[in-house]
Order: sequence, then structure tokens, then C-alpha cells
Amino acid sequence: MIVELIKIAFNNLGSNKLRSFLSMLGIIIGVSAVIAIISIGQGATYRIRSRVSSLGSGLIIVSPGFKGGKAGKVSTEVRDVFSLELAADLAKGSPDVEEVVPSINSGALLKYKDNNYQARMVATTPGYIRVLNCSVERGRFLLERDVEGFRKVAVIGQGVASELFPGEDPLGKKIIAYFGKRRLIFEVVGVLAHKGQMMFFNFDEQIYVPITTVMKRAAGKRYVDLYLIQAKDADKAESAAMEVEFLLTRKLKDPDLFRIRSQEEVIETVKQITSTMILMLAGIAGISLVVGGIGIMNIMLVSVTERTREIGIRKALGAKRSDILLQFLIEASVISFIGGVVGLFLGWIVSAVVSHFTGWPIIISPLSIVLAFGFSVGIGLIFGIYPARKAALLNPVEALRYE
Amino acid sequence: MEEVLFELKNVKKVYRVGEVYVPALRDVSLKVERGAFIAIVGRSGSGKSTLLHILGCLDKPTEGDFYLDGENILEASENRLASIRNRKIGFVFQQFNLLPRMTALENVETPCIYAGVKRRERIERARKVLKKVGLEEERFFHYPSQLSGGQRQKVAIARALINDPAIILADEPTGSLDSRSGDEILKIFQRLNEEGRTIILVTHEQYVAEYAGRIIRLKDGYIEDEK
Ligand SMILES: Nc1ncnc2c1ncn2[C@@H]1O[C@H](COP(=O)(O)OP(=O)(O)O)[C@@H](O)[C@H]1O
Ligand SMILES: [Mg+2]
Repeated sequence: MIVELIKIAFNNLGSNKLRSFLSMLGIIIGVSAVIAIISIGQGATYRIRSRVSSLGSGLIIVSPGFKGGKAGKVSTEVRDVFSLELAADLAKGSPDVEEVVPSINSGALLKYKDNNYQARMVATTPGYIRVLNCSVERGRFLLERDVEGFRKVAVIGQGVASELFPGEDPLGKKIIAYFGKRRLIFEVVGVLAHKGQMMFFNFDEQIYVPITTVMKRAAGKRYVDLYLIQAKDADKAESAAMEVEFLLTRKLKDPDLFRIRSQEEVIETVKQITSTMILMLAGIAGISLVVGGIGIMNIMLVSVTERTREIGIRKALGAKRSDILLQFLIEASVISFIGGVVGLFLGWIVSAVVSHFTGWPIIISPLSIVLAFGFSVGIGLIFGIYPARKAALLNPVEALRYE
Repeated sequence: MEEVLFELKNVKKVYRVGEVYVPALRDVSLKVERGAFIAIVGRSGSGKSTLLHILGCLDKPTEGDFYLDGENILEASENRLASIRNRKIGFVFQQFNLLPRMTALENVETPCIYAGVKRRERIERARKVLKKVGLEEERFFHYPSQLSGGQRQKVAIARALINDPAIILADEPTGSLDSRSGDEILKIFQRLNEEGRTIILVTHEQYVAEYAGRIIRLKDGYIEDEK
């Protein structure tokens, strides 16, 4: 019986292909939107999380807080609080902290022969590559004696190396760096391995120099921009952050002067933002599914009216109400099921295209497939019931008289 | 011993069109024996089709009693009525009422689907009844639009016969046919009656009524006379 009804459904849909397609369109768009949004969202989250954790685990960042911003004043970043001495105190005073790496970041124009390159200059200490999980490709990273001796040596990222020294070995070469109103000449002692983009900056486009050199030569700067802190291990990240917060509050006597962000916090925030976005977009996709369902209902109502006579004939031949009901329900679900299959493929194609351009992985979870299918067939059934019931309850004689 | 198949007692049927009530049958009492061949005649609008629909369990009377095979039809459920239409009764209409997107064979099969008969047996039975009504085999897979009026009516009769019903109800079955095809169709009804089936035929052509053993004349919803 079901087999016959499915055959009848396909027969009817096939006899009016354009209309069947148009009535599927809503479901196709809805399902492909659900699939694409969920898979793109999951891909993005996955990518961001793997980026964040490529920094190594147990990273804590201490940066300046903001002052003012109340009573109409523009809030400004607090300056001049993080000294090198404070960094040493933090390292000593917190048992769960492995290492505290101070850093000053600024833009610098680099020059070598006729080549120049606008890079980000990171003035820091040798601990930097340990805390941020970088590795040296050639030469060496900064050493303690570079920091102690205010030496004018530099380590450069891959991008800097290829732009300034195309076809040349950068090791031992002298670079002129312009930053602020200063001009310094550094000798390149090492090149970092490729690491790439991380949140807002790119490790490959940076130049790394001893922090003391910049502080002394840039008009006696006494404070640094931020502290990168490595916890003893990943489990201790939270307690390390608390220790740092406690010590900083005691030393600086003002919790507004600094901000502490841990890597876990960043991951958590990213997760929250993306899941809220997915939820919102999925809501929109859900609405389009409902609109698709209404489209199906509309077509089914038209179909019932058009086929009133057919319904009368079938009843005269012995069809029960339930037979007619089932026939139209199956027709509605066939429309939405085909729409669901097409939508699934379309959604997959859309996420593949997005993934091609963004490099995010495609993650199509079985759950989202089940969800999309369940939804589309469910919607076919729900929005098919009213027209199908209308057909089933037709009076056979009236239906036979219908022209 | 004559067995009563249909029994109508003081049946009334009133249709409501908006605020107006249209009486189609005013007071009809009727007995039909098993195996009878009856013609119902009368002017257009006299209530012939209405009476046939009630006899065929497509519609229920507004008032009165109706027994089919001793069963009180007024108390039967919708499903029971569907089942009676499916197994006991075969309908033939003036406009053939074939389903346009199905072949002759598929049209004939349809009542069998609702009877829950398996596909193989369905096709076998459909072929048999199509042969019985004299449709040429090369027409079996034609669509109704590819058939002549006479051929369509043969398909419709085959469809009415497929569940081997005891009763055939026909509403002006020759009304849309030329006289030659009409005669052919009437011969089929005659043969079906000889097999023992009860035939009730609505017509307004006098010569058609000649085939029947009994003629009931309707006028304005009453039985005017009978012979
Ligand atoms: N479904 C209906 N709704 C309203 N009036 C109807 C309906 N069916 C039949 N009638 C009316 O009932 C009367 C009898 O109709 P019908 O039985 O079709 O007559 P006949 O078949 O003899 O031409 C007519 O006046 C017709 O207009
Ligand atoms: Mg009539």
C-alpha cells in the first residue's frame, strides 16, 4: 500500500516538475542554510581553537587596564606600570608561574640595501619562544647575554627574511630599523621557523630584539607593554593567574591598572561567541525551513483543490479516509524529503566553497544531517496534515460533481 | 426464493445550498432483489443520480431507512462504507471518471490497491477483466486520453468489475457515447446480469431502458411509476 502511495506521489510530482521544484525551494534553502551554517561555524571554532592552543598551553597575558571612561571622559589605556623589576617579582612570588616574559611591541620600518619592510618589532627576552611555542629555523634566538649587554642583535620571522633577503642568507647581515624617532642598526643572528597568523598578528612578519636595547636606546623607556606568563603546566594555569592577580593588586594597589587574560579564557570566549552566532544563524535557517513548510502547505492545498475530482473517484472506488490522508501526507513528505536531500548537498557544497577560501575545515556532523532531515520531513508532515485532512474529509458526491 | 438486496424506506435527501434547502429525493421506498436488472429513468434533475449515490453508499439519506444485504447503512462507519464501495459495488459513470495520469491497466488496478491485493495478482486480475469487457490488448498501456469513448467506458467497467462485486451501478453509462458503442456497452451489462450480478442503470434514453427487467420512473424526487 505504502509503495503504491509513494509511486502515486512521484507520479503526481513528476507531472508538474516546475511546480514541485518551486515548492521544494523553501526546504532546499532552509536545509542547505542549516547544514552550511553549522558546518562553517564548527569549522571556524575548530580552527580558532587550534590556533589559540598552538601557542602552547597555560599562557597568561597581563596587559594594561583602562582608566576613566566614566562621566563622559574617554577611557585611556594605562601606561607606565609594568617594569622589568615587577616581572622578576612576579616570577619569584608565584609558585605556579614558570616564567614571566616582558614585551614591548611597536611598528618598525626595516631596511637592508634597497629593500625595506614594515614589520612589527617585538622587544623581549629569551623566554619568548618558549612561552609562545616558536622555534628557531637557523641561527639562534635572543640570549641572556644579549639582554644583559643591550646588544643590537635581532631574530627575524620568515616573512621578514624572504622580503628583505631574497636569495641571500640573512645571518650576519646588518638591518637598519626606524622606530619612533630612532634609528638603530641590528645584526641578524637567527631566523624563526614558520608559524603564521595568530589572532591579530603574524609571527612571520615580526622582528625580535632584546628588550633592554629598545628600552635604553628609545629615550630611556622604563616600562614595558605586557607580560607573557607561562604557568608551570596547563592544569596550573588558573591558579597561576590567581597568584599573578593577587601579587599585582598588592604591588600596584589598583586592580584597574591591569588586565589578566588566560588562554583558556580566550578559548572560552571564542566558543561562546561562535556558539551564539551559530544559534542565531540556525534560528534564521529554522525560520526559512518553516517558510518552506508553508510553501509546501500552499502547494498541497492547491493540489487538493485541483484534484478534488480524483479524490471523489478514489473514494467511489473504495478508498478510505485514511488512504486519502496517507496519499497526500506522503506526497508532502516526498517533496520535503527530496528538498532535504538536495539541500544537504547544496549546504555541503556551500561549506566546501567557504572552506576552500578560508582554509577552515568542513565539519558536517551526523547530528546536523539528522537534524536537517528530521526537520524537513517533519515539516512536510506537519504542514501536509492540514491539506491532507481536507482531502480525506471531502464528501465523495460533492467531489465527483466538482468541475 | 427472491432475496432482497436493497431496501429503501421513505428515503429523503435534501441538499443545502447556502440558505436554501434543495430536496433531491422527497419520499422514496424501494426494494431490489438480488440479480435484478433495473433502469431508473426520468427527466434531468428528477433525482436519479442522487438515488444511485445513496444506493452506492457514496451518500447517506437525510431521512428514512436504508438496508443493503440486511445491513443498516445509516449506522455504518465511514470505513465500512468505503469497504462496501470497494468490494460489493462497482460504479460506472457517464464521464468515465478515469484517472488521467494512469494507463488503462493501472486505472483498472486501483480498487484492488484499496482492497490490499498484491501487485502480481492485481495485474493478472486487471488483464482478465479488461479482456472480459473486450478491450484490445494493445490498448492496455494507453492513457485515457489515447482511447475512444467506448474504449474508456470499457476500462471503467473493467475497473468496476475487478473486485468481483455483486452490484453494478451505472449513471448514464451510454450518455457520452455514439449509439454503436452504446449498444456494445449495454451488451456487456446484459452479460454481467446473466452472470448473476445486480445491475442498476440510470438513463434518460428509452431504448436503453428496454434492456432492463424493471423500469422505475422518477419525477421531482418521487417514484412516479414502475413497470
Ligand atoms: N450536491 C448537491 N448540492 C445541491 N443540489 C444538488 C446536489 N446534488 C443534486 N442536487 C439537486 O438535486 C436535484 C436532483 O439532482 P440529480 O439527482 O443529479 O438529478 P438527475 O441525476 O436526475 O439529473 C437537482 O435539482 C439538483 O440540482
Ligand atoms: Mg444525473
